Amino acid sequence: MDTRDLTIEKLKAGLLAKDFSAEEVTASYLKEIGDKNPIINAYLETFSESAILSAKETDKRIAGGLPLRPMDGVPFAFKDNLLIKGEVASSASKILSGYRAAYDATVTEKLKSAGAVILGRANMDEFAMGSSTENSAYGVVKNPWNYECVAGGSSGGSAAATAGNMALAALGSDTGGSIRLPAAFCGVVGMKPTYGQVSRFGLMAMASSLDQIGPFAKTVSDAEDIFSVIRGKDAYDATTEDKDFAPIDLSDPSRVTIGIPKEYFVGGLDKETEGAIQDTIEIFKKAGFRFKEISLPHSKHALSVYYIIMFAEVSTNLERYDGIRYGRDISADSLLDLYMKTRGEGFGEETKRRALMGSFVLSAGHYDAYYTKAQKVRALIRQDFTEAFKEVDLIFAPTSPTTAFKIGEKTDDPIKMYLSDIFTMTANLSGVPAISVPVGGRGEKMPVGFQLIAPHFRDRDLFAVGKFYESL
Amino acid sequence: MIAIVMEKKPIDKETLLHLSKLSRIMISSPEQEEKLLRDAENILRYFEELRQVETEGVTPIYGGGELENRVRDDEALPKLTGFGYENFPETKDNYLVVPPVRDK
Repeated sequence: MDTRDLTIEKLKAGLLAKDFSAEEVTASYLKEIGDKNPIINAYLETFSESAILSAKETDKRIAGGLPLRPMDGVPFAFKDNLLIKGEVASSASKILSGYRAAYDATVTEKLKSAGAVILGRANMDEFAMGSSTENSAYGVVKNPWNYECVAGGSSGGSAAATAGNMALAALGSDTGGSIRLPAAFCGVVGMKPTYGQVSRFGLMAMASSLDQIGPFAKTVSDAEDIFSVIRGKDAYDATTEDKDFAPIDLSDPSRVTIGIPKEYFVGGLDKETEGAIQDTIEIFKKAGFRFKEISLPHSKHALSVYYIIMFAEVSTNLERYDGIRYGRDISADSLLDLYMKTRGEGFGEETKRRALMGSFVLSAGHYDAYYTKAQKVRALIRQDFTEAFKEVDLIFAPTSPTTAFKIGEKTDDPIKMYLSDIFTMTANLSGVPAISVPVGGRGEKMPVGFQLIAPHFRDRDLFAVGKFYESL
Repeated sequence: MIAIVMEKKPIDKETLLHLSKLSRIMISSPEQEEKLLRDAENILRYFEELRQVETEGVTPIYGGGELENRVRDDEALPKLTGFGYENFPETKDNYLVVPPVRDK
């Protein structure tokens, strides 16, 4: 069967109409993976047997006349930093090779009980550290639109699987743009919920004050359906809250004001992106939305603030990978030697760099100049958003300054690579929700994504406006 | 006489080795050391721009949300007990075995 035009909505309609069975759909995706994955490298492992089993369960339910669950028969790719009980979970790091998850992450549990079919573990930058999925210990992920280009990162496998028709949807994690950037590069929808919307229990922590789990999908509506399943308060993640509001009323778009941060449009965009973004603004204007220039004056400091805070939290979170419980270097003859060797050999280059830099910004003598300073400027960045949302309902921005770049183009220069996240990281620093939606009508040209950002817990507004755009 | 003022490097070799010990990460080759040092210098120079931001009287943020501390009863939740041991590399009588902490 041809699954290229499938969406979650169409899948469910087809299942109910008995146009196809869930098993046929899953088998079709597994075949696509078999054909394409040797080139694209989106998956580290597929779970053919268990995937077919859960698809059969959906078919049994339908045959028995039971109502469909929200994700019945939907084939998913899961980023490899999310725990699936009994399966290997490596975060694409050598230090965790062979490690098996002892329990399900909350999102895994929720999607399983909603009927989802988990096709496999998606490739990623090691411990979610990167913007291009070139930092995986298991090889780079290629962009399904152009195999010479990166898929973006760090959730590159999840994005490429969804875009390459190797999954109908996927889960990723977003610490500074790791869902939205690869979504934009691969031409799919990617969403970072409000900090506190989705439980991180069972997600390998990277930077705890920034991490969120979110969906990849082919349409905004599909992304919202996944969001509705995975969100909500969880006893196992104390940062979660139960806040879900009705979406913004779009019956008269002229009552909706969208802010354009002037700091995001002062050059730096490549021509392709600039053109696509301006066209999108015109489409929204034509539909009646009002646009207003706003200022996020501290955005220019976001990169420094983000990297200092993230380095610090990364160095702390990585302490647990010590070789004691798993991933041990057996040649060590003392405990210190064991730590040094296990981590020295088990971590990749970017991971080491970040852990070392984290120790630096947290060390006595540098703590105030870097870490405390960054936390103060973070407060100012968040304040910028609070002020902006007094004037506008949503903020519009490009997702990335460029389309997908060539593999190897930025690997020698960390700062250049870090700048890929310049438009996405402020949402993480402020905790607000943001979605990347592909600009439509680009045919075979490399995808461009635009971003919508909403106030805290106004996640539904993003879906409402995103769906409105897709209907135009 | 011309005084040559060397700009102070934000990070030197000695500091890097200290960080390597603090982070418990062995740096395996001189090439790796050189690359890490060069990258660290560039990154720290980039961060210099933060100095120009006026932050007098600003209260720093130390978390992702606006929540107060949450407490719960000191009871083990079912999901958090009784698993994970199967990943241990070496066990003896339900204890985890590690190499000696002190030199023999």
